[in-house]
Amino acid sequence: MASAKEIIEKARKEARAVLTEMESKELLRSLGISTTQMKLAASKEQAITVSKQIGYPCVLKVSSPDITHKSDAGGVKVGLADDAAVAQAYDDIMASCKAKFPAAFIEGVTVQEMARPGLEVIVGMATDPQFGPVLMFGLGGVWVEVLKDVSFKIAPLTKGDAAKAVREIKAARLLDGFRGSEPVDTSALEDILMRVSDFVVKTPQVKEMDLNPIFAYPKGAVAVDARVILGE
Amino acid sequence: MSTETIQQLKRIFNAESVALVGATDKEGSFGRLFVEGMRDAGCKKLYPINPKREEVLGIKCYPSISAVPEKLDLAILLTPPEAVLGLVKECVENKVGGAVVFASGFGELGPEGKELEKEIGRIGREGGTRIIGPNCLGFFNPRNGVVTYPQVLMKGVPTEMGTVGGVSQSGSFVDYLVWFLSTKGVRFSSVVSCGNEADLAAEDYLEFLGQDDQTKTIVSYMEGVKNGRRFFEVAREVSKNKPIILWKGGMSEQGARAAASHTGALAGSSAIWEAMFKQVGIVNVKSVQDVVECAVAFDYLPLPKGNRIAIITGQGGTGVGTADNCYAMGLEVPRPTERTIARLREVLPPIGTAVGNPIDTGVASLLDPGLYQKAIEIVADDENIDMILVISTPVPVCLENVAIAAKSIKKPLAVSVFALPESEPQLYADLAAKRVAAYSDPRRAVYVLSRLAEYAAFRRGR
Repeated sequence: MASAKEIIEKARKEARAVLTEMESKELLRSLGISTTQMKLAASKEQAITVSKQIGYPCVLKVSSPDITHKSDAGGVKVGLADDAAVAQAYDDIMASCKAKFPAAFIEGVTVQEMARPGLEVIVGMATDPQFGPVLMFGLGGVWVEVLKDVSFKIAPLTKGDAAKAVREIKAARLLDGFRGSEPVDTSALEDILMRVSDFVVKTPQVKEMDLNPIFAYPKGAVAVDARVILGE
Repeated sequence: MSTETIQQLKRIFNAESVALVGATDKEGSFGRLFVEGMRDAGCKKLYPINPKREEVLGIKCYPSISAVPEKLDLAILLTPPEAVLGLVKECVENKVGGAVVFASGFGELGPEGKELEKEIGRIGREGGTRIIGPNCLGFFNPRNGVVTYPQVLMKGVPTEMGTVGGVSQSGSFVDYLVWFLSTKGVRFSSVVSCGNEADLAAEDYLEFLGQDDQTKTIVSYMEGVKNGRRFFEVAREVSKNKPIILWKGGMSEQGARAAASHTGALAGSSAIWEAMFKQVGIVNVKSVQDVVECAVAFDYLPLPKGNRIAIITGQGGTGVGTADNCYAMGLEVPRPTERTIARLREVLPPIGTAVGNPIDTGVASLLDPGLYQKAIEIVADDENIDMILVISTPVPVCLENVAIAAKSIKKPLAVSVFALPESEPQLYADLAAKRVAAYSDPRRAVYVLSRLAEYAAFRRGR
């Protein structure tokens, strides 16, 4: 497994500021953060072979350094149940992405395990011009954009800061289990915050990060999508 | 901060030998106002500097900083901006500890002024004469009598030593704030106006006041920060031991940031400032009134152990309405213990009173002014109560009793006098003289108590 340093150096060499999803998740795993399993497939045939290895149902996402908003490009297909569905999804993704981004370099697709549903949260990092690296926690997925229910802490976080970041969001009750659902593992979320905090404090090259969504479970949490952006 | 900087700050804040460049006896001038003010505030070795005078107000005057026979701890430069660079160089040559630069007309005017300002800061810092300002009002420093705040001097604000320190990026704001707070009975350790921060910045002063044994509470007004990381780290340390009541100006968002991530887009400047305040335990306030009222409460009152409040009132309705304010601001209004209720029953008449919470002394308090004191002492003894709000009848003898009780108990007690300050100024002046935290509106008293409880929770690590 490549180290975070190697992943960043590779992107730098290729004059890229945005790490691919694959690179971003590899980087997270090197920090000890769980992510969904994924593999690159450069052709339709390879996509089917990899899908069998990862197991159905699976997800296909376009892999291109030039396409960051994959859903908007029609580059994401979820809940693929068998070989035929994967083949169809591959064709659809290629057609749509090539139509919308004719100039984009497309490596192929990533085949990803379909994570079991959990409470969607976000852990993020941004660089504030005055205070430096800042961590964010909030409700994830589409809720980030709609509700903006987030909390911020300036890095480095203490364990107390991480616990407060999680508790301070307005929807904190959802974490405790709501209407019969089991409470989520907040200590796993705090652990992710601490790992990201430690990483960004000693890695000033990183400018922004989104781990969004993270699926939070009664036990553990998994980053389902991730984006790492490098600065100057 | 380097130990060198803290030593330099100690010398500046405790300066004994002080030169005032631009001292004069001309009526209606700042030069005269400052000489008089510092003389009266007990500045022991004041050296007026003015080549055109032999003496100023009976104090021997010197033609230049270099002509002063003693090593100077501080030079106050009350001169036009053109003279500042030369004077700072002269201070460096004479090993002066610090220079307060009043003059404006530097960074705030444009790039050229900014360059000159940087140069002044650099020469001072590297030469060992640390620069306060430019474009500042210097100090209100009772510990050594260095007092150069015009409003304060014109109003004759007392300069006895106190426990509140101040750091402000607005000079006139803090000049007025010192005056306002002094009328509430607050006294100060050291207050400094930062100006353009060519060298020393708010975070430096904050660190000094954090380490200063005389200072127990810090009030601050800020608009920006020179070194955000250092400010964060300093404030985090200082807040562990003493409260920082801070009003941050310029919190309106300057438009959303261009960002490639959700986090970047949401991490606006004001959101980060607010988060930083919460994270480091800064008592973040939003108005002049907030600063004044919180400063009084934090200076006079001990911290509560929790968020449970008892309301003692002579006006039942006001008590009930104020209980709503308490809940809205995160405080609980619990029922006292049975023991407390029984003890209250012994002292309160059976009719027209209430012993739950709010505790209503009824009209009986008008006839027996000692009732408040008895009720306060009983309630303060209750382990379920962390703090007390008394909504008192505006009768002097009642308030005297409340003041006595406030000083005899170990829990924070705020008073709301049920009278407008403009109709009963003497009542408020008497309470201020006794350093009682008094507010005209019960809701404001609840607000300050809720801020005390919030800070106390931060100190407990919650």
